[in-house]
Formats: sequence, structure tokens, C-alpha cells
Amino acid sequence: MSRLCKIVTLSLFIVFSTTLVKCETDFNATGVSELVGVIVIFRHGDRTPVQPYPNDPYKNESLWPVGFGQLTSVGKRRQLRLGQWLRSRYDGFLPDKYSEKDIYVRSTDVDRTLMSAEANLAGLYPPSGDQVWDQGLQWQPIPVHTIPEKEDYVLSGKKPCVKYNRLLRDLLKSPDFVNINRKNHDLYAYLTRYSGSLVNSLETLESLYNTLFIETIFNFTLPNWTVPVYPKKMRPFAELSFATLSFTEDLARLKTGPLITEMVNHFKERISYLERPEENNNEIKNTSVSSNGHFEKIEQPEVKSRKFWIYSAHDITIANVLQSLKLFQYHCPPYASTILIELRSLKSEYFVNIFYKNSTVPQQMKLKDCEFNCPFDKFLKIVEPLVIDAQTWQNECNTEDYDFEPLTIVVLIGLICFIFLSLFALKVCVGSLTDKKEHTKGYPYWRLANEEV
Amino acid sequence: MNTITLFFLVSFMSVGQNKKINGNLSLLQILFRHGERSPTETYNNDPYKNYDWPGGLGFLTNRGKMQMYTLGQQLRERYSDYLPEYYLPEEVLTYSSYSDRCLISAELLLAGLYPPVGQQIWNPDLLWQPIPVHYNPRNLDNIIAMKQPCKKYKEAFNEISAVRLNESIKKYPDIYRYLTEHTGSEIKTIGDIEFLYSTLEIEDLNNLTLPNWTKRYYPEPMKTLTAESLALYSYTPLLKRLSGGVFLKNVTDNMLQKVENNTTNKLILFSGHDLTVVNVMRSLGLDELLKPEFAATIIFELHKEREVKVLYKKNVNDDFNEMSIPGCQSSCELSNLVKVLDPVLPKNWNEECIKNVIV
Repeated sequence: MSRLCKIVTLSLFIVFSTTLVKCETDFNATGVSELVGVIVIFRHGDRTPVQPYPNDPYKNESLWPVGFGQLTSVGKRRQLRLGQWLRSRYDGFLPDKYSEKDIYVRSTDVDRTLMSAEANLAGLYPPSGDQVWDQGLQWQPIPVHTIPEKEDYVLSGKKPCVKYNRLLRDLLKSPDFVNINRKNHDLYAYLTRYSGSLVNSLETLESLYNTLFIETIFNFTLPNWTVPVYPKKMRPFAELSFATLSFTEDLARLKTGPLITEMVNHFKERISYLERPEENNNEIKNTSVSSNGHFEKIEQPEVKSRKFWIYSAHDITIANVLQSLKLFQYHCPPYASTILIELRSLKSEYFVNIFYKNSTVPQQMKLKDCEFNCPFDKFLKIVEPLVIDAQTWQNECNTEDYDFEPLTIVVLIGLICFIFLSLFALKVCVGSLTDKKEHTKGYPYWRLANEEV
Repeated sequence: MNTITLFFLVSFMSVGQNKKINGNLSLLQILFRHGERSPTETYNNDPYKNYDWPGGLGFLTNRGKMQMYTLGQQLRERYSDYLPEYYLPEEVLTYSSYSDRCLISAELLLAGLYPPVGQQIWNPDLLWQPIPVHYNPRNLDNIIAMKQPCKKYKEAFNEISAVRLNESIKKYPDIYRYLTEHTGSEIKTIGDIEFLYSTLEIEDLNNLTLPNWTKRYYPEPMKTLTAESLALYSYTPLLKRLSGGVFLKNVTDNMLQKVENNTTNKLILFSGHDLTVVNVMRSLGLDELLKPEFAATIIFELHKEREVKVLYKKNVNDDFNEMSIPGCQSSCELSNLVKVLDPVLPKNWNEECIKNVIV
């Protein structure tokens, strides 16, 4: 009975979703507006927990099909299907045959995202015609570009930025967030006690939540202590944690601004290419023999004709982009969730459409102060506060530490001395302090456990 | 001088392609040149200037793709007792040069080396699995592409290039004028000849009839001059130290680390260029002129008794041939190898790129 129910729902869903996709292609075919550029940002496919918690009954890596933080077979299939879905949505716009002149794929430098990109491309570009290089294998290699994490300020946002870190600390010390942490004190203490790992922030809570979530997907029975807190009590805070990294415009500009800027530049270049194709047509063919040997030889000339860009990244990337565009509804972005940003043209006007696909059907996302078919100029105005070029980013991130006046330094030194003295004083009575802590430890958890959840 | 005489190849001990290497290995490091590609550039009067290379300029041809896939299968066969059939991320590290043809060469080799089996079959219709390939941007890569800017290196290179250019003019007084006139492009350095030769060679390999004027200098002496051009980048001990030496430092450090704290790595792959192969060869002390073919491969085997074996495979049809490293001929022990290579292993590359170091 329930199986029948599932099948009916599923087929209804498929019919519904295909009609929707059809509608969009029809919209395209009638000549109302023409698709001219697409940016795709997705989260990797299913993975194992990045890090189990100390008291985790499933912390033994051998219980898992692949190592911690790695992409699973389910994840590979999910990405392959997403690639196939992209093919069906953009077929006709994106040629069947792979060419570096159409598409550029960039991933964060992490195994699961690099592998997700490859699996996705296997679905998007099954070899055809003269690109079939092996009769027995329906796959062709496609370059996936990356950059080491410590250098990557665009996609992974892992390149260190002192100013950003300071701004984030300030945010987390602001009354609203302090209040959240205060209200969660009992929950944090409960989670810390039972998980064995320190939970004292939204971030650490989310990390534990995520591990528990994956264990339920793997049908692992969660320990009893999770019953009162997982998922219901933890979820809203895990979801909120995704909003924090780009919570304010200042944070968003430094964390997500470089990616937004790159996307805006892709579209700008696309438009100028479409408007002046003759200038860009003979870009590669004219590269003649260079005389500077291997040093100055640019082996990969800049390609200006691209119209499709894929970014393979993480849940926080999805959340950051949505939050920066003020489109984020608090949630944990699921595996292979995808943001589509489409550039359309109509009578030499350009429009931006944004979709978010976190299940089967992509939802239209309407920017604040702009209609769904957002004119490109208006779109530029909306994202303007986020746009930041590489040099500015680097300067702002670097200068933070040296931004002190002499007086401030004197005050700082005084402060440091004071802290040292206080620490020393504290150390004297540290024994009695810890004793007290031990005594009060048990009480709040009881209360929490008895609460209605 | 008709062909490049690879004397050292004669001294190779043929190991045989089918012979399996059993469990005596403890670390395997492999550097390979990408598979056959289309030309990266053309010359002004090239009759094939607008030839439609499938995949575009500088990309792998289908034959090139098959070469890399086959190389992967050959490695699987040779090392099947050492490398588990399951791909395990903690055992395998793949680094590539930034260029597309190297990235996909690495993907193809891995496809041949690790076809999914058993539980790793994630899609029964597709016997392939995704495996990550890492790389550094061009201007930060001093190991594979060796394009990270280095002042002292550039200076030393320019110096030796000028000397060798004059030598080549003495030897072939007319070649630069002749090629410039017929190509319609400026051919004035040994490097120019190298790039022109590469283009002609690829067109030739793909059955595109070369213009008659090429016959005077193609393939010889252009091929020899091409090998000479590649050799310039590691011509002197200093040049070796700042190019191929960086690679060898990496490789020997990996081996030392393996011996000391038994890292989980079993296989480290490097996907590079002909220039990478030449720089590494010459830094090993194997100075004979060499124009590496597509899919040319250098293998560094570290055995359990700390013995190091270095092998070379000219192309996919060649055997795995053991090479004898000057100064570390028979049963080359790791510590001895490090001692022999010491003059070319940079202590602090960044510093040596700025300061004068006595080599």
C-alpha cells in the first residue's frame, strides 16, 4: 500500500517537474528571451562525517564504506544525475561535445568536491561522435580547475583574512548572538557532556548535528542521549549557523564578495563578447610561435567565448551565496543542492534569473528590490556593495593588523600586562575554581532531559 | 648527427613489461608527460593554421587519451601486487601541472589504473570512478610546470641561452633566416625552433603533409635543436638545482618521510610536460640530449631495504627500463642517492632564487 503510494507520488512528481522544465524551455523557444549564460554552484554529493565525535559509537572508520569526509557511491550517483539533469535543462544551449571554449569548471581543493565535479561532468558530457576515445567506456576526461585552499579566497574562502576573522568575532560577541549562546547554555553543556567534544557555539553545534544527521542516513541507531535533542532541538541552531558566515554586508563582502565579483565579471565579459563578437573571434588562432621560450609562453590563452561556469563547493558556499544575496532561508543546504544563475537577453537587454534547487524542482528566487527577470544593470546595483577586486581584498585583509595608532599600542600593551597579571592571580585559586565546577556540572542536564522536546 | 643518440638507453636493463613487482615496494612515485596533443600554436604561413583540431589547440587527441589510459593499465599490471585494486584516497596522491592536457592526462591514467571493482562500482553502466587531481596555479608551481618566477634562474638561463644560440648559428648558419622566411614568423632562438618543431611533429604524426620547404631542416637537425632547447632549462648545475632539483627534493623527501614515519602514501603521481621530464633527467645526472615522447614516464621505486630504483619508459609501447644513476649505480641506497644528488637539491628555493649560491 505504502509502496503504491510512493510510486504514485513519485510519478506525479516527475510529471510535474518535467512540465516545469518544459515550460522554461518553451519560454526560451518562443523567442521571448534567449539564454546566453549560466553559472552553476553546487554542493558535493553524499559524504561520510568529516569528523566523528569522541564518544561516537560509530567513530571507527571501518564501519563506513569510505574514509571520513569522502564522497560515497550514493554521492557519486547523485552528482551524475545532477549532471544529467543539467544536460536536459541546458541541452541545445550547451553543445553535446565538450569544449573549453564553452565551459569552465572550478572546484575547491577537497577530494569530495573534486570528485563530485568529475562525476557531474560524466553526466553532463557523455562522449559522442569524435569525442568517443574508447568504445567500451561512456566517459571522457574533462579538466576540473582548482587552487590550494590556503590560496583560495574566491570559492573555498579559506585564504586567511585577519579583518574577516575580527568582524566575525565581533558578530558573535554582539548581543543577539551572545543571547543565543546564553539561552543555549544548557543545550551546549548537555551536548558537550554526552558527545565528548566541546560544543559552545552554533558552529560546533552544527558540526555535531551534521554527524548525527549522516549517521541517521546510514541507518545507524543513534545513542539514547540524542533522543531529547536531535533533531528537533538542535536543528534551528544548525540552520542558523549557516547564516553567520555572511551575516552582515561587511562579512559577506569579504567572504563571498570575491565569488560574486567573479560571477559578475563572467556575465559582463559574456555580454561584451555577444555585442562585439568580431573582436574576439580570432583569439586563439593567431597565437604564433613565441620567442621567449617556456617562460612567458601562455599555454592557455584566455577564452572569451565561454557561456557556462560550474563551481563545485560546499554547503557553506551555497549558504554564503544565498545569504549575501539576501535570499537565504535558514536551512542546512542538502547534498547536491544547486544555485543556478542565468543570464538572458531580449532585444539587447539583459536579465538575470536566479534559481535554487534543493530538491527536484528549481525554485525561482526573487531578489529584494528587483523582479524575477532582474535587469542586469539593476542586478549590478544590488550586488555592488559585495563586489571586491583581488587587490582590494588582499589589502583590506592584510592591513587589519597594522591599523593601530601609537596610542592604541600603548593601551594594548597595558591591557596585555593586565591580562597576564589577572591570569596569574587566577592560577593561584584555580584549584578551588575547578572543584566548584565539578560540583555544579550535573544539575542543568537533568533539567534539560526532563524538558518537553 | 641524424638522430638523438640516447646512449644511456643502451645501458638500461630491460625489466620487461609483464613482469609483476611483488610486495617489496614501499613507495612508488611516477612522473609522466601528457599524451599526444594537438599543436599549442601555429606559424603564420602554416597551411593548417585553421585546421579544426578536435578539442581545440593544445588539448589531448583521442590517441593521446588512449595512451594515458593504456599507461594506467600497464602500471596496474606491473604493480598489481603492490597497489590494491581499491582506490584509497589516503594511499594515492595525484599532482598535475595547471594545464588542461596534464589535468586530463592524470584523470585518464587513473581511469586505467583504478577501474572500479567490487564495492567501488558505483554505476554498473560505467566502469570508471572519479579520483581527485590536485594542482598549483602556474605562478606558484616550481615542482611540475616549474613556472614559478625565479630571478637567479632566469638570469642563468638567459646567459646560457645566448651562448648556445651562437653555437647553433655557427653550426647551422642559415637555419634561422631560412625558417623565418618560410614560416612568416620570427624564428630567432633555439626556443623558437623547439616550438616550431613541436607543431610540425604533431601535424606530421596526424598525417598532415608538411610543406616542401620543411624538408631541409625537418626532422633533423630541428629535432636535435629541440632537445638542445629543452636541455637549456637545466644546462648548468645551478639551473638544475632551481628546476629539476626542486622536483627531486620533493621525491627524495617523500621517500625519507616514508622511511621515517611510514606515511600512508603508496603512490604519488606527477602529471607534467616534456620539459619536466628533461629537467628531472638532467638533474639526476643523465645529461644526454632527450626529446621526450608523449606519455614518457620516469618511475621512482622505493623498496623495503631502502633501495631506490629509477625506471624510464619512452612511450606506451616501450618496456619499463631501469636506469643507472651516475654515482649510485648498483643497488642505489636512499641515503647514497640523497648524497649523490645533494649538489642539485635546493635547501631553500625561494632564497636561492634571489641570492647567489655557490654550487
